[in-house]
Amino acid sequence: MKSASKRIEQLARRDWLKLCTACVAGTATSGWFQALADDAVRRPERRRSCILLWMSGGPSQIDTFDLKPGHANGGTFQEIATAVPGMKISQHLPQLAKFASDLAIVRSMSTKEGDHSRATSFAHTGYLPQGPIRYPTFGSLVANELGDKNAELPNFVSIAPNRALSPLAYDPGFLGAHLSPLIVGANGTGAEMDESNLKVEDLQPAQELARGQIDKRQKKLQSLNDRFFASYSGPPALSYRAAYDRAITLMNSQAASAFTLDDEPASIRDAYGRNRFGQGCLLARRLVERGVPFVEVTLNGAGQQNIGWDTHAENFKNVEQLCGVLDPAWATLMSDLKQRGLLENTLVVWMGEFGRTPKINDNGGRDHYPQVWSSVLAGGGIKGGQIIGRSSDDGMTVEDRPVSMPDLLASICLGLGIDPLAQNLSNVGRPIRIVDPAAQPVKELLG
Amino acid sequence: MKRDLFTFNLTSKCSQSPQGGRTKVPQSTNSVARPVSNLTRVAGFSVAAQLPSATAQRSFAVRASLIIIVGICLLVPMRSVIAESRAVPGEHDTDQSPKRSSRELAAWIDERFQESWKSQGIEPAHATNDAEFVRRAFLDLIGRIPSVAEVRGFLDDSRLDKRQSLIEELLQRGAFASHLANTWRELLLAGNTAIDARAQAPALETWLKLRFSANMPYDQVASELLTSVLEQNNARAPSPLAFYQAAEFKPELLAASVSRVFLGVQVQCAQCHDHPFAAWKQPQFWSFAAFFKNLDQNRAAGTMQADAADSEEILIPGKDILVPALFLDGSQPERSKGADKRVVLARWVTGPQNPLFAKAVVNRVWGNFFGRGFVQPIDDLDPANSPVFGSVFDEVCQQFRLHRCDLKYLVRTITATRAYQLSSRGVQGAANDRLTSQFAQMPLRRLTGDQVFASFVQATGYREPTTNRQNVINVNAGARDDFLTKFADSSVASTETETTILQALSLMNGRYVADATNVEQSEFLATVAESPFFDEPAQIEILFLATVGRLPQPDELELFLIRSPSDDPAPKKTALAEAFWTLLNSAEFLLNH
Repeated sequence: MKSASKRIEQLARRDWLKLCTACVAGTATSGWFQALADDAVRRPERRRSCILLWMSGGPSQIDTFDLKPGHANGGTFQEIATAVPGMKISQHLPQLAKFASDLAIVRSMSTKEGDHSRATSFAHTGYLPQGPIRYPTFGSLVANELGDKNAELPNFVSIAPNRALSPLAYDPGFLGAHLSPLIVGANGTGAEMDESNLKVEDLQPAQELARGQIDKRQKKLQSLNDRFFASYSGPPALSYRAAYDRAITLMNSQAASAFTLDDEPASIRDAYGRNRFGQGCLLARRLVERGVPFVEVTLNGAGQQNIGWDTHAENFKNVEQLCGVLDPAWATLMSDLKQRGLLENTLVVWMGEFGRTPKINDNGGRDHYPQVWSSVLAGGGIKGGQIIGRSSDDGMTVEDRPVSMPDLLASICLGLGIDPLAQNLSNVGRPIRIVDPAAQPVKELLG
Repeated sequence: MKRDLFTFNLTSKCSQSPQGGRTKVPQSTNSVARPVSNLTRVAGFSVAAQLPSATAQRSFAVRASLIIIVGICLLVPMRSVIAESRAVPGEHDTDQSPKRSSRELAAWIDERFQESWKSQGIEPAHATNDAEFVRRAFLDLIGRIPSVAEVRGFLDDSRLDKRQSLIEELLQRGAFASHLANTWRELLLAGNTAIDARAQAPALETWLKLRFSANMPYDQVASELLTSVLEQNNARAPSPLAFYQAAEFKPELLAASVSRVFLGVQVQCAQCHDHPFAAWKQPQFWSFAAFFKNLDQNRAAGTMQADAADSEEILIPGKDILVPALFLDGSQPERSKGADKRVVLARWVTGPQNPLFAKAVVNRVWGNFFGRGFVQPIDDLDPANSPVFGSVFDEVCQQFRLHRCDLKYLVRTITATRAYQLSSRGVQGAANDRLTSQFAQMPLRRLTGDQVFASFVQATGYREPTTNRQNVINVNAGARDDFLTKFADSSVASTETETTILQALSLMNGRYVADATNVEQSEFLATVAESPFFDEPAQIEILFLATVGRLPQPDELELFLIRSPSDDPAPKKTALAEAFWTLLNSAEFLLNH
């Protein structure tokens, strides 16, 4: 609502002129890209949902999707064949291997940020922090483009995020609080195997109140507020009203039953895995089914460990354990989405903030490595069964088709039917494109 | 167009003038609670006491002007902007205004506003009633709503100057300094929530509070922040370290923060390329960043101060260009041997020759009280963002300087204007925008996270369970952190702060409000329910006073009265809980109106 009105039409003339010059230059260099973007905007039926499987800590590419058998850097894991000839992945992802024809593996991700907090916010916003500009996280940007503002469910749900690590990665920034993620299951790390508590905080009254009492309170509140709003107005009043209306809608909504995982058969719940990430993936499916355009599910750990993929020590033991959580959850999500005809409209993204060093350190671990890493895309808008880019035999360098974070985000936008060059007016009065205009989307990824 | 940001004000003075000593603030932790009344006296001596020395001041002004003019002549060849700004006759070239007391200045401002509204055909909003005023004043000055007794006391006060007295009383409270410190903490950390910066935020809060309690001149606060010795601060000793931590000790991030916070200049885009819309060039940005060079390395090496022998040049990353340390206006620092370059920088940033320093703070404080500044956005003084009431803005800045960058003087002035005391009741929609943009009506503002928490505590009598204090492992322990996290907001202006679904859910269903509205658990509610002195309407009245700071209208009273004929206390308690819940969730509670 507000963001739409904040759009580019409000720009001062001087900015317009400069922008137009920039646009002309942009189109000249990337004609096909503009055509694709135009197409995406013209055909609203192409719009999709996105599930981001966020691998907190930075997963080891060499032990998951870019193995180096026969090299000292390769470590102890074996490759296995998948449904797609020649496309091999880790032995610890056997269930996922069956869905290889839906997966596009990017083995040439290359970025610069090697710090968890900064890299996490960079991966989520696509921009490096610049003074006071509040870059929105990707989920808020997608929710802004694809969300239905009258929907009963929020347009952006984040499940079990490690928000303390990088608050900016969960901030709607200049788009405004109405595009904040609805966060569930973020009650600290250390409970990774606890499947309960993926509920919306405070969705129901803390104390025992009869239904009639709740209604009565809400009516009185409305009555009191109506008196106030008859005399006072302005944006904070509108925002208050919108938030309370949506909160009350959610409290009374049938759609909120999406969060009641008990409605699922036990066999399905078991298949996803009885842990927070597994049940989070199930919840993601239920939300996407109900039209939520962006759901993020974070994998923070497995077993007793809660350091996520930050495997500085005992890499192989930890990665195996993490894959034990990841593999059934992701594979069941794929089959579930497929079965329900949702996969073609749901883009699934797997990534973390960076990769890990090919060289194994003295603790049997791998350290931070942004230079070369992998991400995986699947489902709606994506051409599966392929590998993009190549890393060297020792895994130290990208040998073919380096992909930057903005490149990847722009590709995801196009896959979702969003024009990555669309602009939103930022808090500093300057329009900011959804993705850095320097991005070059990976054309081959798009189906 | 050349920027006219650095038009030089030849007649400004600041606290570095000889009439006042530098305010000292005790550094040790132990002294946090010690009263600093003697210092307060130095910094805050009354306006009346200063008037007899006006002649002496004038002769000083002449001398100072001469010195500055000579200095500027030396700089002319270096910077064309200066030459240009002096060639163009503007407000700054006119004679200096007389020093005005806050009341005089407020009256002068009101006259300018009235003239302008009249000529534009604007009918300003009505004046606030006493209830509106007392709530607004408490929220703006000390960051919380008034208590029942404070509201009643003010409403019953029959003195003609009671509004002014209230402001004076609030200015003297410790909570004034705390609230100012909270506000500045948010500004300095700019929503940065990195773990290490956040861990240091309480130390920054205390550091600021010490200075604001002593009413240290604002230029001195800025100066101390810019030049402070950056020691590891594991304890909670007062320290501005968080500001540097939020910028990761990086020259480019510090340059961006310093210019944004203290000069209202958004140069950060020039970090990577020439600024797309403004006149900033990349080398200019890095020249400014050069003042913060090596802080990170030196810090790692254990010496927090920059090496005096440091070269003053910095390499633009990715380009093989070495640029010298230069102020943002392009002038060159005069650096005596052995001086820390941050000291030289602080002198330039806060010095009287730099008009942006006063403009940035005046615009911001004005914005805190009016919901918008003379210049919008509030932290971008780019010439393209022309101010409303430019001459008023300039005059307030000049008087702020004449009053030695005294923040209390500024607050006294603002709150004494009739404009500040206008109601926010009134017309809807576009007409509303027009009025508020001309300060002819107060806009609605959402309470900040700090204000929501402090007001919740005030209204409900909430007390932190003492056991929680021991829980150092959980970063989020404590109600204050819960509130600040939930009600954190990244928007710059309180008029744009949005309410979220999770905030609404937590106020409707969360445990804090649930406990506060449970007669069995809330001491306050139990007292109201069980006191033999209050009948049912009186009980409801108290809840209104405690939350929205006014008495209920008859129809509002009707909404909550049950008039139960029976002696059973249960339905009455339920009704009381319901009324309190409704009021704590009301828009009126969450908004500053």
